[in-house]
Amino acid sequence: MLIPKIGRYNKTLLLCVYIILILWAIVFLFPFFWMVVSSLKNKIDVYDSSLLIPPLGKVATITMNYDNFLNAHSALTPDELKKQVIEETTVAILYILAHFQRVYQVNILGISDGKEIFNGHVSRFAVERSNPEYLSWSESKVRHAADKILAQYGVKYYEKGKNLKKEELRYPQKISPSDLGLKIQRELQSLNLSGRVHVKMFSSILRMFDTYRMAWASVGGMSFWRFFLNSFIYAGGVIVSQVSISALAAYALSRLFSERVSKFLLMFYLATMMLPAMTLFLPLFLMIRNFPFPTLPFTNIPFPHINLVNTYWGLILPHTAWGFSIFLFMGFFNQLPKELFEAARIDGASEMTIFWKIVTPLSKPAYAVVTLYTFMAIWMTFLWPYLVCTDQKMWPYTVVLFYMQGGVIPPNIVMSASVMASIPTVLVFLLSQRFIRKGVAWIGLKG
Amino acid sequence: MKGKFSKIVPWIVSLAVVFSVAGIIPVFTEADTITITTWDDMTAVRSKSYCKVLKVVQEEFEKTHPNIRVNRLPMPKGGEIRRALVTAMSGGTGPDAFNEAYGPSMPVWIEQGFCYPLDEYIKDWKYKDDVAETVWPAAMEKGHIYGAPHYIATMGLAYRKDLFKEAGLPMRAPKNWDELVQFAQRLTVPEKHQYGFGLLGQEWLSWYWENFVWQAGGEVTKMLPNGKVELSFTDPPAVFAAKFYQDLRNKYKCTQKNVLETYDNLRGDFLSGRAAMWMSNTTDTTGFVARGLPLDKFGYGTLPAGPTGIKASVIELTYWTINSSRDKAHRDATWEYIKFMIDPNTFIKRWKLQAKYGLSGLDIPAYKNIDMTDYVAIPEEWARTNGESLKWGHIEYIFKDKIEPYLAPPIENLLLDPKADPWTELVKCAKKVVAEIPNTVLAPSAK
Amino acid sequence: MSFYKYSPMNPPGQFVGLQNYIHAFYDPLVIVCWKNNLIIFLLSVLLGFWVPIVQAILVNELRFGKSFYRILYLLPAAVPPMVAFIVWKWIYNPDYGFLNSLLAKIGFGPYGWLNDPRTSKLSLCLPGLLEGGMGILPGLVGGGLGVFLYLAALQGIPAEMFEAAEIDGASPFQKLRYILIPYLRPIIFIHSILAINISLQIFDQIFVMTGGGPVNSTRVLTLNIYYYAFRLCQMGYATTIASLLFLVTFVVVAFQFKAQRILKGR
Repeated sequence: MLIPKIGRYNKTLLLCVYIILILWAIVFLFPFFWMVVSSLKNKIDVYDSSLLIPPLGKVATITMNYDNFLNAHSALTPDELKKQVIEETTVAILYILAHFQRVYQVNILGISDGKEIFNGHVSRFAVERSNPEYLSWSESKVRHAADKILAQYGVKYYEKGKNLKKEELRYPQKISPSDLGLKIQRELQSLNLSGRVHVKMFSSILRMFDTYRMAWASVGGMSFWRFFLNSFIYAGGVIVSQVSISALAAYALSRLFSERVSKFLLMFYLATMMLPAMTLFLPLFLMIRNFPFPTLPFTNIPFPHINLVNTYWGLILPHTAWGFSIFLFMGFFNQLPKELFEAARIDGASEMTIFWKIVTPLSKPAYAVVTLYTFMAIWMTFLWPYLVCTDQKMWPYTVVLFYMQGGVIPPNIVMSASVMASIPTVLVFLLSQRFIRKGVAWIGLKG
Repeated sequence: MKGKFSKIVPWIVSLAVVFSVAGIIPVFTEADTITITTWDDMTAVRSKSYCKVLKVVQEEFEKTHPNIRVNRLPMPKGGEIRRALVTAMSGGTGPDAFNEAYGPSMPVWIEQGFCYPLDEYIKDWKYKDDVAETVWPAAMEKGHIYGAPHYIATMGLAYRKDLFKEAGLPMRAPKNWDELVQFAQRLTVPEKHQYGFGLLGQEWLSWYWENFVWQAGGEVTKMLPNGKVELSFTDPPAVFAAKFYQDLRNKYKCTQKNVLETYDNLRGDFLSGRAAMWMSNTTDTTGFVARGLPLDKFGYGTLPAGPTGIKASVIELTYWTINSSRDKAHRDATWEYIKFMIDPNTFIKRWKLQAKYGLSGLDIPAYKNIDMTDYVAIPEEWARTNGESLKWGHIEYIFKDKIEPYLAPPIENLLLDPKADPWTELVKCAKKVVAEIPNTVLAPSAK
Repeated sequence: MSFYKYSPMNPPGQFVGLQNYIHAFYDPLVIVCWKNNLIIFLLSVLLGFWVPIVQAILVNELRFGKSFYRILYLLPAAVPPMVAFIVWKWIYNPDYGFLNSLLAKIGFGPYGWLNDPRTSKLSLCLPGLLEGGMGILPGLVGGGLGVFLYLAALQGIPAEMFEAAEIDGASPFQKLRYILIPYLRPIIFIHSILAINISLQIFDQIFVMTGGGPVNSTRVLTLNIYYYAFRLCQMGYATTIASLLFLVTFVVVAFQFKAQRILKGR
């Protein structure tokens, strides 16, 4: 502690430290706050960087009143009426979704003679995920496919009519209060629909999270869980191989070789860390393609080989043992008291038995640290999977994020995907926070 | 502790088994028929309806050719195609038939030995005389033909009709450069985060800029009688085009500020109504519709004419190529597939299907005697634009693939620095090119 | 591979001897890359290297709420770098970005940030100022973990030393100079090795944020290797640049080890 416990200016000094730290934290956490804010904005407002708080999700409730219509066209058969109503409903819904990008969802309610004739809601998310082309269709085309579209989104039509609740009956009389609602109403009225249209806007917090559903549901036609799964398998595989192979290697280095040899070998392994990853990727790629080698080394005799490109093996194999994890394990093993090993040897235990029964249980913290930082490192890797996995099915989420940010996907969806991508690591970090601290402290002592 | 470990070991073993099975499976699936690999699963890059049409045709091939199995892998996205092909070819996983061999890239791929010469196949091909003559040179090297013509795309100016209406502009694409500037300035509304004209920066920049050069009456490169390539981009027309490009961003301030935007980002801006105009490919137009942009919201016109009245637009030629590392049986099967896919009747079939399922792609084959408009109704404006663009069309400049990386930085510099002088920048660039690329000479204007 | 004009279809291709190396020495693009690498390294040291040290020293001063701050400072390390790159790119965006709109409110700007060849390198390293080298030093010592590393070392300093110093009437600055820094030296050493390494190997961040752009101002060696190998298909030359990069990294680190030993000897 630089600041002594007692003294004249020490309280003020301490206060300054607190203030500096909290300001610093605010500044560096702001980007992530901004990421969350952007992810909750709609397609239009996400471009408005002066909005610090995302506006609530907009839901348009349209009431279409067919009272007068029925009176005027009493010659219509119920089937014709139904057809007309369904067509108009579909046109209205798709018109709003196509022309008012801020609206997340359209609730629709059809009324005729005090009875409800249709009811349902269509969210932008549902349309854009399944059939974005609906939004670009012309009116006649929409009318043609109306019943199919409505059925797809579960808007119900009641031929006999359904009794309305009192409060539902009332609100068609209200004039919609917000500007957007009025604008929508005016535009819908200009479409010459036969029902009288009233629009009321609602705000919904829940709808703001539609961006997340969008990001989760469809990235190039594939669900985000698939990419997470790939990342998990990738990280899991590497952790398994790191923990098993590096530990054994480190044990061998720390116990079986003389100090000079092991130091030299360790330096050799550490040197692999310094190799620019880029250098290795080309030869590694060729090797992964023809694993283990196309011909016997230094000859032309063909050797049985398999293609690991676009497989999990291809992702995992280059990471079987890192110099750094060997270094960590070795540091830990070197610390263990020598007497233990000597005692075991006197008992006639083999090296493997010593490793399994004495070293492993004692070095649980080392295993945990290696597991943790391997997970972190692999979870964040981008380039190698990007090169090896040409097939979208194999992409870890990092590659997907890269594609998303360089594509046509609006930034709010990209930010939602980013937020989702950071959740696993943040959770792991918060849960194992104390553990990381111990591990890091211990790494520090080794240095 | 032993108990815990014996629990982990089976996990490791079973994981290892699962992974190795996943890796080995492809090796054992040997079929009696010939299996060829292609990259024409277009789901990631083209619209749903496009793929639907393509699938019908592909299934028909499988029906008529029972002895050839086609293993379809997804086509990577635009900017990634090159990397994917290079890694796949060097890794030995290259496709037997590659359908997006882009004209300017052909020399590089021929040089690298990726493509098998198709002379013997083309010789016996029924339709070889129906193909437009301009198509062949780009696929030829030292008298051999390496690519079978797939389709032609041109560049046009896509504009947002709804934004034009708001700005009170006529519903047509600007006719010349002055109009382009005038329209774009009216369409630039900072409060709405809307800009008039989307400019492409970065790597592929010369793909945009070359059109301006041709419109100004110049050439980017010229073939000299002695077989050398003259870098005529230091001539006054090209310098004028560079100046215009610079002014669009800096003087008229009617473009986006972010020059780091990719082509896909620009497309996203256009779709979301941020960019009012941009230059896009014919194949993109149907993509807008598929992504939910209503037909009445955007138009597609010819590129504006330069001061010389030339409306030049780049013609992109795309070829099918055959992987040279495969044996004869595979090559023959691949040719069967290619022959089927580029058959005029296949195209006609695809158009007829488009008429049924909805317009999905303006892929124009290189044949002289068939016309898409005879089979499927496309918006009148698109058809006119396409016809006109083809008429004014200009094939890519010579050595594009080699010169492009050199040409991007000076023009980017012009975009970013309003004070930079186009001529000096371009001359500096030309000198660099001459020093590093064999067979190029400076134009007289550079001295 | 670096001695060949490597041909992927017919490996290894034509033997060209040292030609690739000679070319690499004169290639202006490679020279630009070295320069950029050096500037990015200097900037990241300037902006990022001292951050975790200062943060750790300050957090160590706290009397209460230490664990809260620890979690706070851990968070940036928990966010995957890819996410951080995307967020920062979005914040820097000259059209819709937050940074320019904030600066406009207080009467500055607009600046091009990543879009301006003069500021692009600075913009790449600026996040490091806030987060202890985000992106430049990802993973182990990047972001919050760097703080932890230093914090752990600080906590290992026996309290008696400070007390003894206080009794001797040492000022906070003297304590910093004679107690803290010597204790932190080994960790600073490791940190510096990693910093050099990572700033020489920096790729993902540039690939995502600028793609080497504007006007090659952020084009670094790794990016050049990537472009030569996978875009221009000149794998032999790409390997040559890679070997040179490795050589330089190795020399720098070896030099550091030597320097460390000399310092220790003193």
